[in-house]
Amino acid sequence: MTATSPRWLPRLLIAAVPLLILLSLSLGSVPMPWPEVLRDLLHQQDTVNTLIVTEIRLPRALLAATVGAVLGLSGAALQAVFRNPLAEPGLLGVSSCAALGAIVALYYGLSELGWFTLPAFGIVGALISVVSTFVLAGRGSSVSTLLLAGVAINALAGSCIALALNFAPNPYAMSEMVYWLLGSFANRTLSEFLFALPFVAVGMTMILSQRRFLDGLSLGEETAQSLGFNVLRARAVVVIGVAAAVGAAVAVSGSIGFVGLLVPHLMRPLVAHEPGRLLPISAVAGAVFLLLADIAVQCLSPQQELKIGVVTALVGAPFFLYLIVRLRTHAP
Amino acid sequence: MTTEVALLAAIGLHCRYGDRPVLHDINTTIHASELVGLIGPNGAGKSSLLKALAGLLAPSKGCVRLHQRELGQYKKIELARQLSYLAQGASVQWPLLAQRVVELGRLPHTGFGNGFGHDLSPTDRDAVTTAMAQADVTAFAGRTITALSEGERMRVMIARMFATQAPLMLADEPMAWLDWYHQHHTLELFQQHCQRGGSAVVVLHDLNLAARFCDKLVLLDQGRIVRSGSPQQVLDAEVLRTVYRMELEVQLLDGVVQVLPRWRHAELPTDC
Repeated sequence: MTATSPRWLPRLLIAAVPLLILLSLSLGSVPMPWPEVLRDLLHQQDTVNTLIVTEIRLPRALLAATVGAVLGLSGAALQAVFRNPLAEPGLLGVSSCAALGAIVALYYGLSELGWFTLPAFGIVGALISVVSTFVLAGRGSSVSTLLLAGVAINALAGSCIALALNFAPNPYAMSEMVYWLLGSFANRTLSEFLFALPFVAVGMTMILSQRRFLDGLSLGEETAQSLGFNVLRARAVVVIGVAAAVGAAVAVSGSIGFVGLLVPHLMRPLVAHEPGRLLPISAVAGAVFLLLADIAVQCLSPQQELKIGVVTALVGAPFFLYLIVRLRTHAP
Repeated sequence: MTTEVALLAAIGLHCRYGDRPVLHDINTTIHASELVGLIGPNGAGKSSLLKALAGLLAPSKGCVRLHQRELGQYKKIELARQLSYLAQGASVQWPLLAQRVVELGRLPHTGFGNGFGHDLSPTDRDAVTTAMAQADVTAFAGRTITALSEGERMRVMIARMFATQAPLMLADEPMAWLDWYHQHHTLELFQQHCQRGGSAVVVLHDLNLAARFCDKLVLLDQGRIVRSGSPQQVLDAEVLRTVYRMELEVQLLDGVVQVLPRWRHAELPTDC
């Protein structure tokens, strides 16, 4: 039994990203006369149509692709680090702490200080979650201790978010927070995206640099160490990379669940279950997945904005349950 | 080069897991071309000693020296090329192809930065092919590791260890789950490795296999070395009787000491 995978599928996924971005750019309530718009863009003439493309549709498409890539990659990386197919960026409390950071910015009206406050607070929240995970679990902790720390931080962040919602100064602030929590790519500016981009790039690079370590880790921590890896350091690089990338991404888009769970699972058979090779393909597939989901959201309900976080949860939660049942029946 | 110089030496080694001491004052040496068997009852500290020798368990007192340099002074990657370690149980998390698992043994040589998958040099590929042939797992190359039986998986892990081509091999119960044929086969591999100038430390439960194949035995009990030396010196009926709490008979078969268990001693009163 050889696990040969169709070689064209990874290439198809890579090719799909720019195509879907283009498709996403041409979708919307206003039809785009592309020859005209391209000419105006080239001559740097601002028309309504070029503004719609650059200010509204481009950030949305780029954000969908980037957040998808971050979540897919982070899910694959965390599953390898924890040697647990149920691990996800949400698991370490990174997503919820980033969300909490952004909620604090919204709650105290700090988001009016400038476009950068929301992403900045998200990143700070994510970093706090990672640091406190390490403080709680301690150096050289086992995987289960780290997981428990993540659960505790998640619970704390969740209750703090609930508290913030409870004390919302006015219904408008509350609805803003709730809307933001649902996760969406609509109405984000290019500068919000650009602020998140360096953190996302650094985080993803950190994760990808440890792919051989993640391969080695499939034989266990001791064996990985005996193969020459500094397990504590390499694991910290991966986890901090996840925090930076997910923190920045969640701060701009709101929390979008289950992508980090679903995508690596679908991709794993294509790379013969190798954790290192799973990383890049999960990033690409994550981008494709969220671009598709965002396009679907726009097509399904152009009037009433359907939140993409809701859609991924509707698809992802049953998949999560299916995984639990399957893991339980296949448990040794 | 004289064989008098110890390749690996534990000097006054003490180790603990948290507050619980597991090794007390271990002094032992492993020379080049020596196949050393670690024996002793459950919980005697065999695995802990092996981990300490591999640099995976930090000593609380004393030290382990490789080529007269403390393990801590080596870069991890240098150490990984010098000694390879086979963990007990040999679990693999993902259903990887057996071939890929063996290739992971080349990680200390390929480095950790380059490429995303199968970037093996011809030397690496030769080492993998040779190791798989040696451990008799070439037939499984294209099968997923989770689809193999425990014994077959163990042989893949042994191939993984041999693929590293480290001069010093530390294996924790490599005989677990192996059939008789492959038990002998694997210990012969370790013997050949030692004849080529390497050395190996192997945790074993089967005293007769240990006596037949090992140059030196180290008998552990309750975290201390009870006796070490040649199989004849260590496999002494009187010593084994107290350590293993078994009535047993020691006899020579083909000029090799063999131990025949008779019956176990009645439960000893636990000293609380």
